[in-house]
Formats: sequence, C-alpha cells, structure tokens
Amino acid sequence: MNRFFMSLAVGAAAAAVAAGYPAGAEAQYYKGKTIEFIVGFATGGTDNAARTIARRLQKYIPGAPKVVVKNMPGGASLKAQNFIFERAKPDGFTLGFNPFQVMAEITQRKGVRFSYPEFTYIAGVKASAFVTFARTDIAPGGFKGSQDVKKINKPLTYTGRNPLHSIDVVSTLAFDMLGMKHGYVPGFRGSAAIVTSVEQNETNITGSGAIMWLKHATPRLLNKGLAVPLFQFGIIQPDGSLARDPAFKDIPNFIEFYKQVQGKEPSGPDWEAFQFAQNAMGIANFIVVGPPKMNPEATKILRTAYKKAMADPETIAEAKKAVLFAFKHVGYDRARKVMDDLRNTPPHIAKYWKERTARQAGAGK
Amino acid sequence: MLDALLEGLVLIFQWPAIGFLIFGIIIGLWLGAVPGLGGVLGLVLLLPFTFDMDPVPAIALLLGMYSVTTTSDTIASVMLGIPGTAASQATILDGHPLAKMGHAARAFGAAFTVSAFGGVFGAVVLSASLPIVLPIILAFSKAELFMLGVLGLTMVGSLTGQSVAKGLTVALFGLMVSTVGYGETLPVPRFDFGVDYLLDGLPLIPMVLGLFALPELIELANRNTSISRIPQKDAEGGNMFEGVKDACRNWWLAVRCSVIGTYVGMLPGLGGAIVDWVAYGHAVQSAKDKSKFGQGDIRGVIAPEAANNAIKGGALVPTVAFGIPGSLGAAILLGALVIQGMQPGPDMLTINLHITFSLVWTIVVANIIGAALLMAWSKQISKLAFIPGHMLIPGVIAFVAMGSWIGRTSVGDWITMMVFGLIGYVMKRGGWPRPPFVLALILGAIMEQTFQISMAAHRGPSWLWERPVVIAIAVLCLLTIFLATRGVIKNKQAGKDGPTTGEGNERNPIISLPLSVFLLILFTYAYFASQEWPSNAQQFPFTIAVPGIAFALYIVYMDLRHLAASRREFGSIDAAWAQTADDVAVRSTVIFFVYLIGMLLLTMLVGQKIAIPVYIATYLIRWGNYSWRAALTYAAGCWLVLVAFYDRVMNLFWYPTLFADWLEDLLPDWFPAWLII
Repeated sequence: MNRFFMSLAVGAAAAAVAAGYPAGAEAQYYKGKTIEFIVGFATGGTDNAARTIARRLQKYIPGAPKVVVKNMPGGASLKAQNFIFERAKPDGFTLGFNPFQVMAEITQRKGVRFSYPEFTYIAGVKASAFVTFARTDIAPGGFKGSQDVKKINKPLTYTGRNPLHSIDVVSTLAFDMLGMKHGYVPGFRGSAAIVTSVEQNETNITGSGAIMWLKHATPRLLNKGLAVPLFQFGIIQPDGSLARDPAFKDIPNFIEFYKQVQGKEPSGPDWEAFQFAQNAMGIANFIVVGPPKMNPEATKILRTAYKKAMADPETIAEAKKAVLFAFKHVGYDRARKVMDDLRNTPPHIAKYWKERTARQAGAGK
Repeated sequence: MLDALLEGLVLIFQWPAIGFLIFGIIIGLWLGAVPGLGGVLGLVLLLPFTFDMDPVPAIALLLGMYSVTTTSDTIASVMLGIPGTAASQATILDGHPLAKMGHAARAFGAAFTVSAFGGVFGAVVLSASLPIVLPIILAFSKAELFMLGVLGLTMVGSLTGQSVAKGLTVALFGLMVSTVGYGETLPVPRFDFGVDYLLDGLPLIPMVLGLFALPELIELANRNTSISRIPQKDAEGGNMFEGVKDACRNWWLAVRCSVIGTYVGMLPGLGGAIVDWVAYGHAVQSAKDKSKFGQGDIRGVIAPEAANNAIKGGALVPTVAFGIPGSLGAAILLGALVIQGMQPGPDMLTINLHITFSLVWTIVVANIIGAALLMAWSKQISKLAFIPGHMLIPGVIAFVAMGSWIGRTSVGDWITMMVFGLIGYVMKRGGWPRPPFVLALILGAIMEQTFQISMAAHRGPSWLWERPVVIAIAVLCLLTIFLATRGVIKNKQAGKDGPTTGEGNERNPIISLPLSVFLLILFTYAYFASQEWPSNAQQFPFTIAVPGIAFALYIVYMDLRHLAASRREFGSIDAAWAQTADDVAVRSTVIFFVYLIGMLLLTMLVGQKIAIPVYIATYLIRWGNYSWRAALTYAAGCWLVLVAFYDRVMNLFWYPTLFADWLEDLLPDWFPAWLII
C-alpha cells in the first residue's frame, strides 16, 4: 500500500507546479483561516500526497486559507477516519485525507465506527484499474494466457496484502471463479516486495495496481519473460458497462477473459458479490471527506477548488511524467450513487464478504 | 566509470548543492541527537521543500541530513544511555559506562572517527560491489530473512548480561509484545482486551524511551549527581584525542565492522536493526580480553558506530539500482528520487551513473563534515556529563515526552512510555538485559511476517530444513548459544563471579522475581489465548510462548534459589527487603512517577503547552531546590521549543482538551491561540 500511495503522492506533487487561481469575490469564508487535513498515517505515501495536495489546494480556495496536514496514525487510518466522523467540527476547517476502505465498512471490521455514505464527500482520487499476472512456468510449455488456464500443473500461491485490501478482494475471487485454485499468502507490504517474491518463485500469481505494474512488474518480470498478464478489472463506465483501462489497452478485461476460459458469461452469487465490491471500490483509491452534515457553503467551495486543482493541465502533465498515467478526479456526482449503494448494502452481500474474508484470514490451517 | 565518478564529485561541490548539503548536515546532527526524532522524521519534514529544487541540491539536502543522524545519535546513547536511533543501541552497552567514568569525550572521539570512516568505507564498498548486489538480495527469500532475525536475537540475548537464559527470555518477551494488536499478516485482533488503543499494537519509540531513558533519569534523580560519577578534574585519559587514538589503534576492527555494516545493510527491512548488534557481537567474540565489555570498553563503541554509518551506503544500493528500499528511510529517499524524475533501475548504473555517484559522494562528504563538526563541539557536549542531575532531568523528560507523543499523538503512548519505564527500571536493577527486548520489538513484525509467509508459501514448516542457507544460519544460532553458555559455566567453575554492574549484570533477586513470575504468567496466558485465533495469527505467538514458558520457569527457580541465599545472608526476608529497597531507592522512584503522572493528568486538563512547563518548574523548585527565577527561565525555554518547533514547524496534533475548546471561543480572533493551546 505504501508504495502505491507514494507514487500517488508523486502525482499529487505534480499539482504543486500548477498556476494559482485568482480568488473570486465569492467567499470570505476561508480568508485568514486554516484548514486541517487529518491523515491516518505518520509517514509514507498518503502523508506525502496529502501534504502536496494541501500545499496546492490553498491557491484554488477563495481567500487563500492556510492548509496544513496533521498526522493521526493508527489502525491503517481507521483512527483518523473515526476522529473525523465523531469529533471534528462540521465547519469545513477539518477534513480527512485517507484511503477509501470499502471492505472495512462492508465487513464491519472491528474498530470501524464511521460510515462512508454519512461523511461529507469532497473529492476522490482514482489511479487506474487493477491487473493480474502470473509466472510463465506455472504451465508446461509456458503459460501465455486464457488458453493455458486449464493446463496449469503447478500449485498456485497468491502474493497477498491482507484479505480486506481492494486488490486482493477482487483478484482472489476472480481466480476462484476461473477455477484457478490457489493458496492465499497475506502479509506483503509494498510493490517491490511483491514483485521480488514472484521473481524468487516464492509465490506465483498476484494482483497489481497500475503503478506497481508499470514500474516494478514490467521491468523485472514481464520484460524478462518471467511473468505474463492475465486480465484487468477495467474501468466502469458511467452507464455501468466495463471498458478496458487505456493504461493497458492490450490486456483483456475480466469478463472477456472469463468467457474465453469458461465459455459463458459470469453469473451466480460469486459474480453478484464481485460486482458489488468492484462497483464500490472501483470508484476511487482514496477520498477527501469532512464530518457528517458539514457547512454547505464550505462544502461547495471545497468541491469546486479540488476539481480545479486536479483539472489543471500542468497537474496532469506532471502526473504523467512521474507515474506514466494521469490521476482522475472523482466528483460528488459520480460518487453519490456508490455511496447510496453502500448505504443500502444488501444483507446477503455483506454476509458473503464477511464469511469470505474470515475464511481467507484462516488460510494456512 | 571514472568520468562518472569525478562528475558526481563535481556536481555536489557546485553551488548551491554544497550549501544545501551543509544545511542538511546540521539539521541531521540535531535530529539524530534528540531522542525520538531521527532521520525519517527529517526526510518527511524536508521533502516538501525539495519539490521545486534541482535534483542534485535536493538529494544533497535530504541525503546529507539522513547520512549523519547515525553519527550524532551517539550523543544520547553515550550521555543518557538512551538509543538516539534504533541503530545505536549497542553503543549504549559500553558508551554509557564510559560517560559514567567521566570519559564521554573519549567515547565521542572514537565514535565520530569510526562513524566517518564507516560512512566513507560503506560508500566505497557500495560503488565497488554494485554488480554482485542483485544475486545477494535475491538469494535471501523470506525464510532466510526470518532465520537472520533469529540469529540477531540469539546474539543479543546471549551476549548481554550474565544470564543467557534471561537474555533469551527477554528476547521472547519482546517478540510477544510485538504481537499485540492486529496480526502482522491478517487483521485479527490479538491481546487487545477490548481497548482500541491496543489494536494498533504497542508503539516502539515510547517503549524504547521508557525502557532506557526513565531508569537512567530515576537513578540520576535519586543520586542527584551528574551523569559522570567522577568529577571533571579527576577524569583522566578521558579526552577526545584519546578516543581518536583508540579508533586508530583498533583500525582493523573498524574495517571489519564497516564491511559487516555495508553488506547487512543491503538486506531489505532487516539491516538497520541488527547491524550494530552483529558488529558488537563480532567485537566481543574476536577480542582476546573480553572482561571489560559492558563496563566501558572502547571497542564496544567502535564496532557498532563503524557499522551503523556504513549501512547507509549499503541500504542505498538496492534502493537506487532495483527500487527495493532497504529501510523506511530509503523508501522515502526513493520517493524523492522519483519526484526528481529519476527512475530507479538499471539506468542508475548506466546513463545516470554520475547521479548515483553524486549520491555516494554526498554520503562521503556528509560523514566527514558531520564528524568534524561534532568533534569541534564534543568538548561542550561532553560537559553535560558533569552538570548536576536535577538540572538535566526535566529537559530530557520534555524531549522524551514529546518524542513519545509525535508517533500517534495519543495519551496512550505516554502511559506506554511510563509503564515500560517501570518495567525498564525493574529489568535494569533485577539483572535483566534490556537490549534484547528492544531488538525483538523492532524485529517482531518482520519476523512474524517472514515466518507466516514462509509457512504459507511452502505449505508448512518444510522450509526450516530444506533450504541450505536457513540451515547454515540455524547452526550459527546454536553455536552462539553454546559458546555463550560455555563461557558462563567456565567462569563459574573458575570461581569468578563476573561483573555486578552494567547491562544485565545487577543481582537483586527480590526485584527480579516479580518480573520472572509475571513473564511466566504472560507466556502461559499467551499460550492459551492464542488457541482461539486463525492459524495465520496464532502460529507465531504460540511458537514464542512454548520456549518462553520453559525459560521463565527456569528463571523463577533460579530467582527463588538466590532469594533463599540472600535470606540466609541477611537473616530474614524482611531484612533482605530492607536492604534491596534501600539499594533501588523505592521511595524516590515512586515520587518520580508521581511527578510524571501529574504531568499526564494536567495535560488532559489543559494540554501539553501548559502542562510540560508546569512540570519542569515544579520539579526544579520542589525536588531540585532551585530558585523560582531559574525554574521559570528553564520552563519558558522549553515552552519556546514546544511552540516554535513542535507546533509551528511540525504542525503537531496536541492533546485536544475541553479547556482548549473553551478558551478558543473566549479569546479574541487576533490572538494567536497556538501559543498556549
């Protein structure tokens, strides 16, 4: 996770170069005030991202308030998110900047006392789709793609983070639906460690974010012929359909890959749970929120300012230079539907994920 | 290659790079010297300022700062017996006794000399060994890393103190404490007793500061002397040049330990924590006369200090060449490189080789300048050892308290710091070595992670006997225990009793017994509590609990035997207790903690910016018998540091009190409320 967010930070750092925006007469609300970004990690990527965005954002908010980052590490940011939810004043001067941990909410992980739909949503940041890959030596003659799935003759071992991590959640279920039985090995931290493990043949399949894919897996595994991509999870279009991510347009999406292997469209309870999770967590990698029922004037100002900061052409150009693709801003209009879905999570879906993640937690028994 | 080497050198001596380098060095020296701060914090604070800079000055600033924190961390280790950073723990064993002998300046002279040497040497080895690095890193999978952790703990456990059993038990205790909270590989809560604070696990820095700082400060307060037990005029042979000479006499040891530092530093995640111990262990094992180790042997300072600067070069290799950061600091540096538009990878060894060499040169130059600056100041710094204890204590407590606070900004961290202060005091006076505990805390997470990943990836424990490197390291572990035990037994047979001062050497069975009983209960509880967890979260604590119970039983038995012996000596248990209570100053220790608890409660009422200065003034007036004027000046100085550095520079999150909410509404808008709340 660290590495992922570190790279995200780089994208955010890019924002730092964009030009200032003239303050309108619109608001004296923030003039001379200080906005606090509460980050749930001490050091590392999320903190970097928040600091650089904070530095940038103040130029886009009328009245040019000071934006400072305060660290409140604990529980992989759960402590900070609880703090925003329960204790922060809803005046628009205290915001949270943290990963969007959908599964923590769906499975009601111990220690979660907040609810994403009740937060005041400001903005989300979406990096790109996830992608899966495998070592080529898992099948005789070399594993190349969907045509070789039935030929796999090595025991599969998945390089995992933790059972609630978004990449693991969708990747391991996708492998199960494809009939690729695998051992789940949780506990890996950082892209480099995961790629090293696959390179050492300690583990042989995994899921990846785009940054890990482009910066670590491609030079160290793909280019050397040690591993090949299987499928990507694609980008959900506004109409609900699934498209390939432009960052890896040659890699089939999961539905395409599934049809090639199983000869039919995916369906059933697994697929239903898969789609629910994918739709929710696919929207953003991390989100900026205020406490519930935040001052509407402040909310409006912040949403607009955030959108402008992210849309700056120089922001995009810098992000492309640093991490090879652009980050996407996720506005409230896009996020609203997901929040409504989360608020009304069907009980059988919640039960499905609770049981599945608990089962993965018992892995190795 | 040579062109790139020279070009790299020219790059860092150009203006403004050299200016930023020196600025970075000064900041780094300060961050390393103050307990609880350190290089990683410096990187986080400085990073945002480098975004708009050119690559070479930016890296000069960051790397210059980062390279020297392990030079100045010697100051806290030697003067206060507190590890300035994780990499200078082994320095305490002999460095602090040297300060007590009035030889702080000599320790500094030796330490700074070999730090500079180690740093330069590490950088040179780094450039020479670039081609062989990747095979080394890839040869170490999780299984080997786990065994390396076991080796580190075995060495420290059996090398510190008189009792091998106590050392190893303390290591197991540390590993057990590291399992508190969510599991390393799975989010399963363990030993949380329904308290949210414990879900995150116990924080390292407050524990380390509590374990090492509070016991030393308690003893200073009790004796009300200076750190040095010998007045300045009587401390012969303790000057800095003596130390430099010591370093030159032991040049071969410094070379060997620098090599150890460089190569151990390349191992991801593990290097920084164990390198000083591996070097210290090597110094002890290779010495002919081992009797002075732990009592103030200068070689015990030279070995870890050479190694812990050499590591900075070693850790950089996998970072720049393969994008595999060897430590958290290296990970942040990697981020800085990326922001500067450099891609870690083979390019750094070909077309960007001059940049790589400018990194190497930065380390070299920073180490030399850093050591030179400290040498110039060391006379002043070492005078601190002769200052009256009461004058030193409140200031150190303020830094210890803030150092414990910045990690999680939680009152729980202060409670942790105080609880482990008490445990540390019991350990110190009861003959339990503290270093194995701290090393186990640092290694616990990575050892559990590598253990569980190996178990899952190999579908069982077969990796323990099927991998040759794992077997080789395991043999080394057994050999270490065997040799250490044989040494203790031989000493006993020869009728020698061994030293009674120094880490893990004190003998107070009445103080030791409660801890051994507590550990027996703890390991037994852990054995049963862990049965309910999924195997991935259960195996590691279970594997610790089993030998833990066996060792603790043995120590309880030994403590009871010693207790019986001292009862015979004093006539009755009461008389023995009276003697012990006097020895360990029970009464003033209690008062010391009452002061700390007072500071904690006042913080919860009115916040730290008022509570800490009030604590300082109260302590100085009531316990130290200083004048109001001196006390208030001192308190005001500390308040200034709190506001200027921790609030304005760090934007620290302070304890949120109701008083602050109330006062904020009351104060006029133009008044800077951050001055007091």
